[in-house]
Formats: sequence, structure tokens, C-alpha cells
Amino acid sequence: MAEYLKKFAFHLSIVPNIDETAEFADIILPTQTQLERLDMGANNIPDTMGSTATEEYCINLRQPVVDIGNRHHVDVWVDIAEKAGFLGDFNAMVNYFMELQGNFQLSPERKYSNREMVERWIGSMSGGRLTLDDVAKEGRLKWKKSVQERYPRHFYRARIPLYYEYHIDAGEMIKNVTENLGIPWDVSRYKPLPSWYPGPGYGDSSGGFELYAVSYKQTFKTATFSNFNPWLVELGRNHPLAGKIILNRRTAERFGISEGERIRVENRRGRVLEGEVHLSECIHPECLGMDHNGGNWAKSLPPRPKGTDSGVHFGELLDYDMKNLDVMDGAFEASPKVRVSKAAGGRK
Amino acid sequence: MTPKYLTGVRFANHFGVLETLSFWGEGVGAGLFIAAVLAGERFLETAAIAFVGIAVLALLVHLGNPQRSWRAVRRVGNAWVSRGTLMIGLFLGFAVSGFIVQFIAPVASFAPLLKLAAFVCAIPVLIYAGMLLRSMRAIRLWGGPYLPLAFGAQAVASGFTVVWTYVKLFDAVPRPWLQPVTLGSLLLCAAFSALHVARAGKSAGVRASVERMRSGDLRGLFVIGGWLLGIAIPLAILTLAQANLEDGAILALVASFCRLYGDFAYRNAIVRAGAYEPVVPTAPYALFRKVSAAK
Amino acid sequence: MTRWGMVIDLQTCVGCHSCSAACKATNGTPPDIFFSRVHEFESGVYPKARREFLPVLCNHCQNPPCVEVCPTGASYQREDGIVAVKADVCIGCRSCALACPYDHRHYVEPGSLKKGYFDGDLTLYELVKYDRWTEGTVIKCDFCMDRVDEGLKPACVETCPAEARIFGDLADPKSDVSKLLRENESFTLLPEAGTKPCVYYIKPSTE
Repeated sequence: MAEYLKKFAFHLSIVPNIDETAEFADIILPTQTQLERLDMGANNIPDTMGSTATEEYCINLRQPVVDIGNRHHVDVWVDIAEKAGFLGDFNAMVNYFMELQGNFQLSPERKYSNREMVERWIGSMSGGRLTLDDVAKEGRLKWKKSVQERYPRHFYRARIPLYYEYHIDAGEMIKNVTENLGIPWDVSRYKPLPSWYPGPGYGDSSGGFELYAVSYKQTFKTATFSNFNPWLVELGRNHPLAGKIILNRRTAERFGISEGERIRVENRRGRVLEGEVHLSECIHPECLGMDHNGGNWAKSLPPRPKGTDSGVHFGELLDYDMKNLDVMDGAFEASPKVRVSKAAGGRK
Repeated sequence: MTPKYLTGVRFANHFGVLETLSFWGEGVGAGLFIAAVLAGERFLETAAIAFVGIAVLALLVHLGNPQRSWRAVRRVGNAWVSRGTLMIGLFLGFAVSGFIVQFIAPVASFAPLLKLAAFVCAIPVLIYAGMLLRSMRAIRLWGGPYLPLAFGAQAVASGFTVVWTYVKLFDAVPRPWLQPVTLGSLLLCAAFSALHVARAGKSAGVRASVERMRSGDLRGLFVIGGWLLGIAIPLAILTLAQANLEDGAILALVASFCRLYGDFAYRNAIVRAGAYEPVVPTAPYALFRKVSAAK
Repeated sequence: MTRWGMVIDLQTCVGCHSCSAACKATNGTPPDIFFSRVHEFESGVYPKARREFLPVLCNHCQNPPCVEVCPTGASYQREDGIVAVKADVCIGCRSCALACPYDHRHYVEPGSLKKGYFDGDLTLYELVKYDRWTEGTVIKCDFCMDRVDEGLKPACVETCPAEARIFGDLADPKSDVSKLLRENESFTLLPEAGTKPCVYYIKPSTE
């Protein structure tokens, strides 16, 4: 990833923390954290909007709890758009994405603040009935769902097809495009019926690569940016699984590995990571698990005790190439085959 | 992972070397004062005050807010820290005043009375550390009657061993009772210390504590320091002296140094080995375990 | 007379640590001090194995050993059962920390409030929250008594997404906690310690 980021001719980062990506930036502009920001729709909209389990639609308003002079990243982008001469296009894009209607639409020549955009969105969403101040009182914008919205299946004569004939057409189209471009592309999986394909490493344990590496998230962390929050880092340090490599107890015994040891995990391409092992009964004997919340190395991470790190970096084991890509959905193989051994340093 | 996140046996880490130094200083000081008064060794009475002084200093350094330490005597009716602080304060008050007034002619006659008061106060000071630890009901190693007795016996044995060595080196006046009493105090110390561990119970916490002292990282302190250096070697030297087989000054000095270090090592091992019982109960999960085991 | 207590439903707890985070956020405890913790461990053997969670906090015992051993009276128990510490009276002898069988007394190391989470560069949040604590004293969970006195629930209860924590008056037979204890098999931690905890646990499912 580091080599890839170095290829960019110019790199701007607008971030509240100088994270790993920002470390490669030519220019870094500071912005607000979540506690400083005013954002409409701070919740995960599909969970509260799309679910038929709720009686009402609900959009939360994230309100600033502290102002320490940082600017909202939208305001920074508006400045850049104005100075770079594409403010009109920028405003048009906002109108499109926020679905602003009528008088609430942004005019192309005027510069709007983030606050104004939130105001307009609320106005547009509520048909002019509500203002930002109204929504701020309750902290959310909500409205009742109709019966049809709550029980959609009753009102739609939908069919779930079992035979996807359009896959055949899509395959043909892709074949034409890739042949014209001279790109070798396998379209054999564009079949109308559900098919099963083994993962790239399935059934092949040669060379000692007999374990599947799997990953998951810790409940209290999101991706790797939670490691900029010292409370969550502290929680992780006191968690039996966070940041560790999990092996089935009997599998570990077979490899002569004991609890707390530092082990080395290697994929078929020779990519290696090292970490502390935790032995468990709650993992399949053929799997090796770790969360994907670790691996940070940015200099601005909160201070941590000597000898501790942010945990293993699962991404190190993934291969981003055509062999590991599912051409149908664009997903990469996320359970690579690996082999384990004791790390040279031994016990942590 | 901090110890607070452990679910099994957890060793208490709130008290350490500083607190042991305090327990040792006040114990040895009180024991030495009693032995010195009985033997009539004024210099050692002063040395005893210095030992207790070291203990008080260690205690003040241990406190998070030493400027409020006077508050420590507010709950004499309930807390052993209050009782101990009061007794140590009274002991020091009487002993230091007794020491000073003996040089002031008009009030010199009060000196024996003050010394007697200090002597009386030294007795609870002997057992204070043991009683304080015993009051921590969560740590079963420290429970029961034998820890205060063992701590007290350790202090008395240290006091008499030091006095015995001093008399041998610097005092020509023979005290025929001193050698057997010192020997007896060492035997008593061994008996109470052994009884304490033997009768501490068999809970998970106690088993872990004993294991740590017997063969774990505290073995050096407990077995070698507390028992070998603190009891076996002084006992051997005293026994040889009793049998008139050996009467050397160097060996007498060795006996005292071993005894003083052994006393500290024993207390430090006991303080650091204190363990809490596992906080996670087995009962609510037992059924699930049985189902698993059956498969 | 009110007797505040808590019931933690282990059949419902998902081990998300929200309680720990909410406690941190509300109380602003210094680094390495968690009033609310979640223990995690496993039971069973693969493939019949599972993760177990045991959220813990001060048990606000009816017979609190920490109060008994306090030499100054800094540790006290209110009439409603909440066990708390007077920061301006505590001398930092740590007897209470030693006496608590559950390890729910926390010593604020001298210097820790100046150091904070960012090696001396205190955040605005820390500047505000650390005002409440005194270095060299012992601090503890007080059931968020300031919130409770205002009629609110403790922060860990308020935030629990699984509603595994229920707070209420154990002395009131009509309270939710009393009902739950009547209707479910429950236990307390280390009953043999004789502390009579006011935090109860509903037994986890054994299926």
C-alpha cells in the first residue's frame, strides 16, 4: 500500500488525525472530529430507514459538543471548489445527492456553508415544515411510515427469480468489451443458475498451508481508525482476543504452540505477519482468526505502553490479484490459506 | 492486560516493598524495644525507636496524601490502620519523650514511667501488621489467628537476636537468660510461621499463594530468605552457642543480619503472595461444561 | 428505605463493552481505570464451545469490606446503599483497595491526572473530567449517584444496547429488579466472601 500511495503525483488529506494514508500526503488540512461536527444523517441510514421492523423513519442529527476552531471538511471542500473554479458543479452534485427540492436547491454561483446545506436538507426533507433548530431539539428527524412502507410484501406482486438469464447476456457483453480492449477475462461464471466455486486455496494444503485465515471485527472498534481513540485502545489492551491471533487449542498443540507465544503467519505469496497467539475452543481447527482492527503505525496514534502495538494487520495476508478476485461480484478472496510457526523472538 | 481484567486467582498488588518496609520497621522496632528494655540495653532502645521511625517514614511515603495522614486515627473503633497508627504514635511519643526526659534533671524521674508506657504500646505494635492483613477478609492467606502471631513472633525473634548479638559483642555483663529466650523466640517464630501456612486453608487463592511462595517467584524470599536465612541459620548459630560449640562474634553478627533480612523477606513474601479468590463463579457455567464433556 | 441495586442478565449481554465506554465517557476516569469492566472467557470444548461474558462493577455490598477497613471515614455507605469515597478525606492508604474481593477500588497514581491519555497534553475533555478526581486517592464506581439523585439511570445501564443491565430499588417488591430476581435464577459474585453484593446476575443459558 505504501508503494502504491507513493505513485500519486499529488496527495491531499483532510483529516482529524494524521492517519497512515495522510502520512503520505503532500498537504494535510485539519478538520473536525465527530464531536465537533454538525452532520445530518449521522446514523447508518439503511438500518433505520430501510428496515421494515421500525414504525418510523428516523435520521439522526450529529451536533457539535465542542468548538475548538477546526473547520468541517465540507466547508474545506467548498473553499477548494470555489478557488479551483468548480463551485457550480459542486453545488449541482450536492443538489443531486441530497435530493434537494425547489427553493431548497443550491444555486450554482453561491457559496454555502455546511450548516446551510444541513438547513436546506432538513427543509427539503420536511417540505419546509422544519428547521435545523427544530430538529436539534430532539436530535433527530423522524416521521411515521405508511402501512405500505411497513408491510411492503403485501402490496407488491414481486417474484424472486431462480433463473437469471440476464447473467448470460451480461457475460456476453463483458466478453465483447474485454476482447476489444485486449484484456483476458474469464466469463465462464456468468451462468443463470446458482453455482459453487471453491476459493483459490480450497483443498490445497501443500507446503504446510493448511489453515484458512479468517477475520472479524471487535464489537467496540470500527476498522482501524478506532485506534486513534485511546479509550478503545485501552479496552483492546484488556481484551482477551483484540489484536491477537486466535488458534484452536488442539491445532496449536499440533504445531507445538502455546498460549501467549508470538507466532508467524505466512501466506502463499510469502507475505508474513507476526503476533501474539490466543488459544481458543471457539474457532474451527482448520482456521486461524484475527480481527481486522489492527496494524496502525501512524506517528499520531495515542501514546501506548512500551512493547505494545495496535494488533495484527489482517490485510497483510490478502492478495489483490485476478486469481483471488471473484469476477462476478468484484470481491477478493478474504480467507487465504496460511501456515504458522513460532516467531523467531519466541514468547512475548 | 491489567490484573483487574483477570478472572482467575489475582494476586493483590496494592501493597509491596514499601509497605513491607513499614511492617518490618515497626515490628522489628517494637520487638527490639521490648528485648532491649528487658536486657537493659539503652542504646538498643534508641535503635528500636529508629526502626519504628523508618517504618513511619515508609508509611508516609506509601500514602497518596501524606499531608492528611492525621486523619488515619479517626476510626479506631473499626479499622486496624487507625489502631496501628494510634499505637505507633503513642509508642513513639512515649519512647522519644522517655529518651529525652532522662537528660532533663527536673523531670528525669518520669523516664521509667514513660518507658513502661512505651513498652506496653510496643506489644500491639508487634502484632499490628498481622492484624491489619488479617482484617482483609478477601485474602484468605492472611485470615485466621496465626498470621498476627507469626508476625509478632518474627518481630520478637528479631528483637532478641539483635540484643543477643549486641550483648555478645559489646557488653561484658553476662545475661544467662538471654540465649535460651532468643532460642525460644526463634522456635516460636518457626512454629507460628509454619502453623500459619499449614492452617491457611485450601481455597484456590490460598493454593496459588502457597505455590508462589514454595516454588514460584517468591521462593527466594519465603524459603531462602524467610526460613533458611531468617530462622534456620540464626537457630543453628544459637544452638551451637547454647552447646558451647561455637561462640564467635562474626557468627553472632551473621545471626543478626540473617534474622533481620529473613524477617523482611518473610513479611514481603506474605504481603506479595496475598491472592483474591477467582471472581468468575463456576456454578452457573457448570451444566454447559458437563454437556461439552459428555460429547 | 431505598436500596439501589442492579441486575445483569447474562442471557442478554452480548459483550459489546458499551458499558465500559459509557462509564469512561460519563465519569472520565484516568488511564487504566475502568469502573465498569466486561470479563470474557470460554466454556465448553470445540465444537460445543462458546464465549461467555461477565460484566462487572462495584457491587455496592450490603456489608462492604472497603468501608469497614477505611481508617479515615472517606469510604462511606449512603442510606440507599451506594458506597462512595470522599476525595477530600481519603489519604490514599489503599486499605480499601486491598479489602475489596472484586478489585473495584482504583488508586489514582500521583501524576496520572497530569499525564492523561496523551502524555501530558490533556484534551479539553480531560481538563473538565479530571477536576473531579484527586491524585493519590482511591476512586470507585458510585452507581453514577449524581445521575441517580436526579432520577436518571447509571450511564452503563442507560447505554446498554441489549438492556442487559437493569437498575432499581431492591427494597421495592414492585421494581423491575425485584421482579427479575423473583422470576429468574440469579447469583452474586463470591457469596462466600460475606459481602452481600447488590449487583445480581441472571444465569446464562446452558443450552
